[in-house]
Amino acid sequence: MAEKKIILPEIEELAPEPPPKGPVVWMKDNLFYSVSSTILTLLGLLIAVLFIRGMVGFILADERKWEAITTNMRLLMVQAYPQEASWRLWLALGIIFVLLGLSLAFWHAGGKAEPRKVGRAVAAAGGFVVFVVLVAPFETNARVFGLIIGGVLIVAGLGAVRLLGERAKEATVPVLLIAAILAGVAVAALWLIQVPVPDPEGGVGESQLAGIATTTSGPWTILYLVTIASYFLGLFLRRVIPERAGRLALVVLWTMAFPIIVLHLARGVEFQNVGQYLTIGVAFAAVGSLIIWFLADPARGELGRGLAGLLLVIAIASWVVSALILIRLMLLLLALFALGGPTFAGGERATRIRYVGVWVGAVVITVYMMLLATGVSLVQTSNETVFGGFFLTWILAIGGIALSFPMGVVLALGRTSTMPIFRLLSTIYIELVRGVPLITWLLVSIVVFPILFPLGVNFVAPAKVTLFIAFFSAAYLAENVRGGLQAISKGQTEAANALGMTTLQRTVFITLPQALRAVIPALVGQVIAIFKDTSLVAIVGLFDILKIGRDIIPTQTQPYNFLGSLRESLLAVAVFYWIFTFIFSRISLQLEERLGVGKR
Amino acid sequence: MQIENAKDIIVCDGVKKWFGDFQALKGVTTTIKEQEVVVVIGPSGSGKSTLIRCINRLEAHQEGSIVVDGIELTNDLRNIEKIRSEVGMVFQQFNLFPHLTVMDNITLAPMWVRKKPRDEAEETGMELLERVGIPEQANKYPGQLSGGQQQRVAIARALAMRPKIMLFDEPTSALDPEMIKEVLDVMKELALSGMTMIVVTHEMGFAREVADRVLFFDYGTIVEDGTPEHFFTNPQHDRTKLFLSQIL
Repeated sequence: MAEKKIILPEIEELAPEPPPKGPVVWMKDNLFYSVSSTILTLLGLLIAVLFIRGMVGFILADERKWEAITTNMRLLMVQAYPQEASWRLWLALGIIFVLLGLSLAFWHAGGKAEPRKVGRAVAAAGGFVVFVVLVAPFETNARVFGLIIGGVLIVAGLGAVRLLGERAKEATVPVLLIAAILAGVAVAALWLIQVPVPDPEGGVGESQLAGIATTTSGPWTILYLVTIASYFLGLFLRRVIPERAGRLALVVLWTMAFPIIVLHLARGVEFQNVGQYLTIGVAFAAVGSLIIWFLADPARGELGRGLAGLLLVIAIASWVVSALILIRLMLLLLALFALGGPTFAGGERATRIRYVGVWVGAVVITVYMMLLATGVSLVQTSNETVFGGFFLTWILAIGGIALSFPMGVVLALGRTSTMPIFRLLSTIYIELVRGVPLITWLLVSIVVFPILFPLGVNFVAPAKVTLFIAFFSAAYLAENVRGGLQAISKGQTEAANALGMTTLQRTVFITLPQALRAVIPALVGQVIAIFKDTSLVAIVGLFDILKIGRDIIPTQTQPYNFLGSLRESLLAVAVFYWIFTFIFSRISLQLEERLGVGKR
Repeated sequence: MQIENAKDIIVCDGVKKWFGDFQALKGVTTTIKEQEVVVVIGPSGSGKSTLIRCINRLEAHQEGSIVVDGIELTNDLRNIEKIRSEVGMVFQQFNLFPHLTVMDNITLAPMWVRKKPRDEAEETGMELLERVGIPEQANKYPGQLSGGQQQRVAIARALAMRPKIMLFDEPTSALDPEMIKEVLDVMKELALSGMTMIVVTHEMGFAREVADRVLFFDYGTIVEDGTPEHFFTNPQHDRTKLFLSQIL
């Protein structure tokens, strides 16, 4: 049969673009299309005007003591962390920003934005500025200044689109470039914006103007440049080393970054028992490698599984008898590696060698972690802990979330498992933990912790609190993940089974990734909730950003009198929380879009 | 025919299977030889899908025995995993993994079940994609492909394990009519290459052209068992005649 070729007209020819609508038409179509919509639009507008007037009026009022915030910025961020050690925190931030730059490059972050949309966004921002300046109680000078800025933004935004004309359809602007420009503006603002600070020679309540960040604008500028530099370094490295290997390395580095920063860098550590721990580590690395190499060999068959099970029994037994924590952890780790051997490493020599390599890496990390956990802090403050302020908020949030994710996943798998014991235990845990308020668990962490762990294990307050935040959050995460697991069709499990995958492989490669992807919005909601719930730690005597803003700054009388600045500091704290929760939710949207690839 | 002398690769003996009170298989006894292409036909609910799902233990039979490539199917998990990696399965609903690219769909099991290095698995994967005619789709996600393309990926995914037997559970039933042919062509090529295949299908043309044997199922038993020629031109049982008169 000869193939017939039917020539169809191009789609574009069939559907010419609708004529552009003017703003008046748009408003009529979207805001005033019926009586009720007109009423609701006007009502919404009224609420917006009242809110903006009230807010700006509050901020600009003469009696506001904003110098209470600017003077105490350091206190809000890191509380009593000693000034002379602050290089440690800047270095920590440096590590994070370098990793960020590299990761952006390796994960091909940021798409292309249409110039027309960018132009419209700029114009909309200008319009918002004009709106605020007009409705809020500004002075005449400020109003004129604001109108000029807004006008420039509108003209620039719309003008750029007009200038590009037809080319605007094809041209693109990299999203990362826009982000870099916005961040650059923020950094420049640190140098340029003047804020009131107390006049050291003036009387109480008098203030003068100074740069918003006299001591930190330098470091922030350096960090900004470092991030951009590491992005370009990442672009270069991406061409030199395989992308997959680079990503794997970055994931490991990100995972390690938190303990290294919090336990090592920020705290400063004088290691104890180095010789003993290193000996144990080397012994386990050597003997363990041989054992794993032996057991992962497919030729072992039944015997291998039996021996690995025996190792697990020994590991569990070591927690009942008296032994070093390091040895107990190592035995447990060895048993898990031995059990996973046939699943992840059996067969080819190369995979077995890689598996043994992973084992040695795990040993090194465990020894390092235990050295950190038992080390003595070098940075000294008047508090029990060196951590405070927004820094503490972040430590609790990241630590809690990072620990609760694996726990939550395991609980969710347990609750959906076919094994009755695991199902029952998981269900009991989840219902028990969710049934009690977080504050209660925080009190438990401080008061009951030493009794709960009778093995002589005890941590400083932030560690205990982090653990309990993780325990608490894990129960909620488990329920979210369970929802995702139940949404996966039976066909997926059958297809994985039909390919001969083991239950573990099926869970790790097929069901879990899909389940987690399906519940990203709920997971991000949980992350945001934990981030804000960390403010509850004030109840157990830790000084997080909210505690400082509420109880410390408004009671300061020396060297400056900030009595009665409660509302200012609460607003400032709220802004800090809001900035980051907003960023989280944006990232979540991006993530959904990226991972939703192909599933439409 | 050379199949006459080939060794038995699947032996079902008195296989019975209940779903609750409903008996889906009422004692199925049949033997399938190496390189044989068996097409299973029958009305809905007759137990034909259940039989091939029992062969790789997606369903467990309750009585009788099934021996695949010399290994009897019991509750022993390792036997089951071993047999499953030797028996490829293609589903009606494709069941591709939507979060993985086409290439990752194909290489996942060879890498983790067969422990092949990634390079080797990807090389095989590319060869298989060429064989099913869609090498250019390797880096797309299943959701971006048409139904016919997805089913061809599913066949490639099953073949990547180098199975000895391929099971097809109504592989064209979920496809738009114009995509059925592209999948059947791939299956035909596979049959000619000497693969042992059991195909549950409603495609009578495929059965007539490709099958070595046709099994006609009804009410959980094999009603008719013979060559396509015998089945379509000279069926023995009234039930078969009725069925053929309704569909042809």
